[in-house]
Amino acid sequence: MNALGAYAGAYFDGRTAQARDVTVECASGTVRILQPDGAVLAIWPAGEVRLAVRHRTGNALRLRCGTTDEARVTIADAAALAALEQCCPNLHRSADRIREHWRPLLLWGGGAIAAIVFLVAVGVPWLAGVAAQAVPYEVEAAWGDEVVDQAAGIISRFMGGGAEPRFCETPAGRAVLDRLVADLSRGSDLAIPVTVRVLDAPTANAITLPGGQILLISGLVAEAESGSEVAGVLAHEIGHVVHRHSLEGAIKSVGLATLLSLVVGDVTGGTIIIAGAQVLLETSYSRAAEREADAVAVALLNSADVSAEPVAAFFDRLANQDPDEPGLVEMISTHPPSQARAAAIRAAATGQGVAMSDADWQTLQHMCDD
Amino acid sequence: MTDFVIAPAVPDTPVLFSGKRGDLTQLVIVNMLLTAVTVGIYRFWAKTRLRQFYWNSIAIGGNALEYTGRGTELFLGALIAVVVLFILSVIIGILQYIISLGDFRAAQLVDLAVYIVIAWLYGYAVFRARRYRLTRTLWRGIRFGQDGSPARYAWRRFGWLLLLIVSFGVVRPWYDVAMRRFEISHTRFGFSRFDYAGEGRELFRYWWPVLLPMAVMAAALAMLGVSFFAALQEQALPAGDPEAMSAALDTIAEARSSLIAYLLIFAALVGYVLLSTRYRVAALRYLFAVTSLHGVACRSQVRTPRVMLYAVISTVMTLAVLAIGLALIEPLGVFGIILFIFGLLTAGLINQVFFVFPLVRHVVDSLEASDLAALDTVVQATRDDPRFGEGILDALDFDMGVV
Repeated sequence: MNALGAYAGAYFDGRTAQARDVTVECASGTVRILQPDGAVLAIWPAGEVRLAVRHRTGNALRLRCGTTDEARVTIADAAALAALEQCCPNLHRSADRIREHWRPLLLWGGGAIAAIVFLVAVGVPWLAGVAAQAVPYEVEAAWGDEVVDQAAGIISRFMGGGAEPRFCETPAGRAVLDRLVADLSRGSDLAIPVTVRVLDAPTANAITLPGGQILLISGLVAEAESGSEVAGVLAHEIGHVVHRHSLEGAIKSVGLATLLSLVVGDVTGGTIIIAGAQVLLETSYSRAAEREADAVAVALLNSADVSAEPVAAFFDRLANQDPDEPGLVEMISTHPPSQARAAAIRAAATGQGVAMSDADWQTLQHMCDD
Repeated sequence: MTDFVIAPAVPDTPVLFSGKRGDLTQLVIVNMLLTAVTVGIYRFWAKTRLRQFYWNSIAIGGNALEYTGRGTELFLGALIAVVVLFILSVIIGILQYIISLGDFRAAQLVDLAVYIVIAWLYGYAVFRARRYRLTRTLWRGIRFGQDGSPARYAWRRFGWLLLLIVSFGVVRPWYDVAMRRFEISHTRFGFSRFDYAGEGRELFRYWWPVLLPMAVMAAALAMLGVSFFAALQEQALPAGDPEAMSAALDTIAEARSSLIAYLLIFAALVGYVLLSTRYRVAALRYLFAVTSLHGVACRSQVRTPRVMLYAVISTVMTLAVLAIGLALIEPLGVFGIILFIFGLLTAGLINQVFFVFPLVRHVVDSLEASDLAALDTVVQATRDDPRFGEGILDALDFDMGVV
């Protein structure tokens, strides 16, 4: 390689702040930095020489050797850039390349990301579960009372009902529901009193809110083929009440929202703020939660001597539901069915009877008429 | 008006700013787009490139500053901080939530405690971030450094904030001086420590005028508060009752006649902005005047009118962009909303290109340094710098991260 000219520059040895006038020349694979009297101040291997800063026209060239040394050479003549590019193959390699420090990146970065994934998938749900059980029942009940009316409005709109939630209340229907709840909960000791109400909306669903508030959507009553089906669904929802899944879901959302805002760093100030009842609505319970609720449902049905076959058949219908056909689709999204669930219910069921008389079923079905 | 004078009167070494607005605009646009596309992850590399631009544009005696920080360091620092802070904030968040279910007032107490802790933590984070930036700054190949414990700094800052509140802001110049003294007297260039010779009372002559509009605003707000409260109480009456209606209207009319109060507040607000900007600019000049290293010092000629000019221009531009964005939501629907969000990001661009850039350029160009010969003896210090940068500050930082 031929010497590509010598250029005047300033040299800083990285040990003191003194500037030295030097000549910089490139020859046979090295860059040499010479004092005016010819003495060599430093020899840099050409392969190690890089630009210390991104070069902008008009500014001096700034060179360094390697990625950690603090010695610098500045060359005012921009024409030197062409010569240096010929001489030094790595001139434009930035110091921030992955190859330079993949080890700490892998270690710390991978560890941190793994920790975040762990927190999202395991940590927060577990914490939420523990926290939910730690909340005193009275506190949950009080909060449920406050929230249920707000939530009902949002749920009503979401389910295709009116903006103002309309509850179906006839004295006869109320009596039927109360009897049903009493029959089902006779076998268990519920720490939270269960309040069941029927919300007028065309979708088939049932929602459990904190504090033992269960909302049966009238669409479900319309879709159901017998009172025992409704009883089975109600028993399932009571299962959610017993295990406090609704509260757990709300706490989990708070935790995830906090994590998200930390990770995204609030650059544009926009983090997802999940408000009250929508949390309760959009939380689809984990499979474990569904299984727990199913277990409670079967236990309640057994102790009330109600056959679980109708509700198992209902879950079969859900599993075979045509996704394009409305009707049970909404139910499916929040209560993901599977053959296993129906089978598990049938396996554990011992009840033989019906949940209510035909007359009561008629009353229930007509509860929303007027 | 006599301004702050530095002790040794010596030949002036120019401090120059060489950055071009066009280069910066290009850089900011690329940063913006990449940050948006990566949902904020790119912000660490964006910040790094921005600092590289500004640092490299500043030349003292012909030698430019160099920023050796890396986006990767900021990224890792933030990741670690996320994990640590998350565990803390989830526990606190869940605690708050549960407490709020039971006793609302207790939850507010927890809220207050959290804010207090964050206020302390912010001081800690600011100091650590400063240390990171200094250790990543090179001049003539010599690294800067920041000694001093971040915890002590945080406590000092917290104590002064309490004093500030208790004194209704009167002690602000002493607070500023105390903070700068801790920072500067622990700041190093190589092995050499900076000297800080500032006193709070010297800044007070720029601060006391700010207290006047503050007092006026407080008085006017009190006036308004009283009449609003009265009006609210009257409005609790049922709408159907004609007598109650007219009584309510009377009270509202009374409140509106505190038009004087509104005007006072507006005037006081304008006065406050002008005078406090003047104070901040004076504080900057003072900072340069009382800071020195081996007898080498800088003198700053930065003046308030220029600063106000840049502030006004960028604010007007931002408001115009946001107004256009808002107006477009109506006819363009969802597309309009996307444009509006874009407009918000553009506000960041406007801020950087039309406020920060000309401001830094003006501050740097108005600096003159004394003879730098004494600095030739400064020796490089051994490595003691933090490995990763600014994690907590990134997590706590709610502004657009200027520099």
